[in-house]
Amino acid sequence: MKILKILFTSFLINIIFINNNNSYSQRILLEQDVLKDTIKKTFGPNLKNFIHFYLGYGFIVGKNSQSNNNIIYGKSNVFEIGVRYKYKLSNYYSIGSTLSYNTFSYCIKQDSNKIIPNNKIHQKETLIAYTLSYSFYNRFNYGKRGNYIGNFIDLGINGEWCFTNRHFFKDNLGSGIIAKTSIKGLRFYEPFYYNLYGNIGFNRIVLTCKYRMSNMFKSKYNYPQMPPFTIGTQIGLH
Amino acid sequence: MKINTQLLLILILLPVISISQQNLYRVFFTDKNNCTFNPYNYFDHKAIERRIKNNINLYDSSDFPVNENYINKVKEYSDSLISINRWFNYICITTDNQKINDISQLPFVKNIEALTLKGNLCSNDNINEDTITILTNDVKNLLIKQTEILEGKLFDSAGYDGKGIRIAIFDAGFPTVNISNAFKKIRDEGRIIKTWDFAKNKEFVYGYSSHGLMVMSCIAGIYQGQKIGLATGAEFLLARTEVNGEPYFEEENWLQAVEWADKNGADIINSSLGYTYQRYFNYDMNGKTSLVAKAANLAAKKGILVVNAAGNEGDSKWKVIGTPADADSVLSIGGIDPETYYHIYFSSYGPTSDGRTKPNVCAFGEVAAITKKDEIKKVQGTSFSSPLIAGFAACAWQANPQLNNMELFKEIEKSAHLYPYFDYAHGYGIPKASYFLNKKKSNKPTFEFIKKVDEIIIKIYPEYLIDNSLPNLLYCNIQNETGKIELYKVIQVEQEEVSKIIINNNLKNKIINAHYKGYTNSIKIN
Repeated sequence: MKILKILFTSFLINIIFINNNNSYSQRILLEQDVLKDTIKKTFGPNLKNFIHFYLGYGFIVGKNSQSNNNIIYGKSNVFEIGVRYKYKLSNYYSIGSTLSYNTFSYCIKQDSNKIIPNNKIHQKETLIAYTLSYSFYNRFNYGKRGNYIGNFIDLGINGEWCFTNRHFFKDNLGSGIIAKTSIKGLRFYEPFYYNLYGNIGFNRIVLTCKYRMSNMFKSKYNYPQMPPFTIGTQIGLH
Repeated sequence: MKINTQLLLILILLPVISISQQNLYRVFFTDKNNCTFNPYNYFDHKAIERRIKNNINLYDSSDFPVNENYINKVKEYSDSLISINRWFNYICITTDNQKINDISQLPFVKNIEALTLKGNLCSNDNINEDTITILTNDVKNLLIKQTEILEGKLFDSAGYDGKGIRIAIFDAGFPTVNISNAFKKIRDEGRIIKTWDFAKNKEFVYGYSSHGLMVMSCIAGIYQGQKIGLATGAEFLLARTEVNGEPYFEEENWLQAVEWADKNGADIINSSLGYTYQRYFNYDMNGKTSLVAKAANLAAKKGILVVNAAGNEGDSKWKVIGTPADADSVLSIGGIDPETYYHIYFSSYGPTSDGRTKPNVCAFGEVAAITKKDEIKKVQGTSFSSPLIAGFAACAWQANPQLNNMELFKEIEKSAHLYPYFDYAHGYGIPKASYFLNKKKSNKPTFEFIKKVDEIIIKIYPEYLIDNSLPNLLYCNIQNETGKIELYKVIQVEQEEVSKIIINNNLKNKIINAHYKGYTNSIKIN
């Protein structure tokens, strides 16, 4: 109510200070409404509410569920774009949630041990999962700071909906003919899985590590599950 | 799915490990018991003179050293000792979280303030070579105008050049000040009294960022016989306090430098430091929260005139002045545009969060300054407005040596071209030398309020409409019963009837102030 009162008073003062009608066509070079400026803000990097977009890029690491190395590290990666909301409870603790779009690309190693999704050898082969993810997190801030995100640690859990997927492979058919094949709607993917994750943040720069807690492939197919860890970096767009 | 427990443990422990890193702490002590202090050994003779002139106790406990036993005991738990602060009786150390808990248990430790080492540059100005323009007639004209607008020639012809006034400059480095022609006279006469690099703890300050070089030129530089700043006869203490990317060390350096400046007899401190969002909120800008604001006020109590840039946040989300420009005893300097003669877009606005008027006065926010190549170039920032006023203050003080620092502060405000009108973009306006030489200010009416039943019209007298000796700018504001301004404007005057104000209940008991070409008038709405 106090904010509304200030805004209303400010509005009235503005309209009574007229100098822009036809007979008072002077140019206003500078105008500052101090009342408006004194309204206490609640939205900001270290205020009650804050929301911002972020971009992330990371790599899939670790062994698969049969302790084998069935992907090519470095080429198996994750891209993420999302929006993060933070609700500040104290200077040291906040809670929040994120909504993001992710692509997980698993570049399959082509060797005799290959069984996902079959044992056929290709020139290049990638399994890609497209997901929407929603998470809840706890944020622990440390260090004195002003209206600034500062240094923090996030611990959270997220659920992921794999809304589509793709199996891509490339083959050299000889005589310079390259065949590129893309298959969508693979049935061996679980539609939902969940992860635990932790972030260490230094204002805009965030180092992130995510651990998948559930199966990625349906158990009836007897596929080894893909490596559960992703590590990467995010950049907060704020 | 089987959980890899070892990796999961790493995931959880990694953040915990990261917060047990080395941190910077201020450890405040309870007392200064058993400390001995001899002011005649500690202070420079100029500092003693200043204290005597201002009736300040030579044995003020704030000047006593910090208890050596306390320091030694805390050092046992520290990895390094960064600084010792007499005024606030603390030491700054680096240590880890575990050891700081042990330190907090010591009986002579009053409290501990944690500072985090992470952060970005928060200096008011970054010298970006791309923003520097090459020498043109435009730059030459600016060079003349930046002191002319302060009526610097009057000081010059009366022989006031800041002689006998000692100015401490806190900045990011002073490259070529030891060789530049702009400061030859100062060097030849041995008027660079002392230098200290607080970032590296050594005397050499003639390297690093050229910001300090440019700032010093705006106080005392001479380019081809033309004064860049007004205090060409002053003495100097040069302190390197600002280090890019290390704002918390910078603040610590600033606190050390202010003690050093006091000890070495500074009369005026010029600083372009301004802390904003990285450590504070807008509501912290009350002159009482930050330690640098408290230190600046304490310096003022010890008789030093502290001149500080208002900041360059006017067009950012932060918008308002930083600290220590928020301190009530700091002369905070805003910037005006040399083309339009009113607020330059980036200059930070006042008031302080507790409603005090800031900035106090203003000068050009775009100036001509000396570069490392001994050329004169155009640069922007309130960092350069501040030294123009510091140089002006040195001359004004030389002309009026009977004034103490706070009397000079008030006189500088009174000398400004808008006084007694003020707003939160310009303060009282641009200080004028003529005030200090003959105390006369023209107060010829240039406009009138025409009060009607339900409106007030501001009408300019015709002869002042065609007079182009000064810019046709009408400044007007609405002031409430507590003296605070609620709304203010600057209007380009192009016709006699400039502004119409409709009277209603919201204006009841409020005052409308207006200023036009040296004349200020007010009308109270009943």
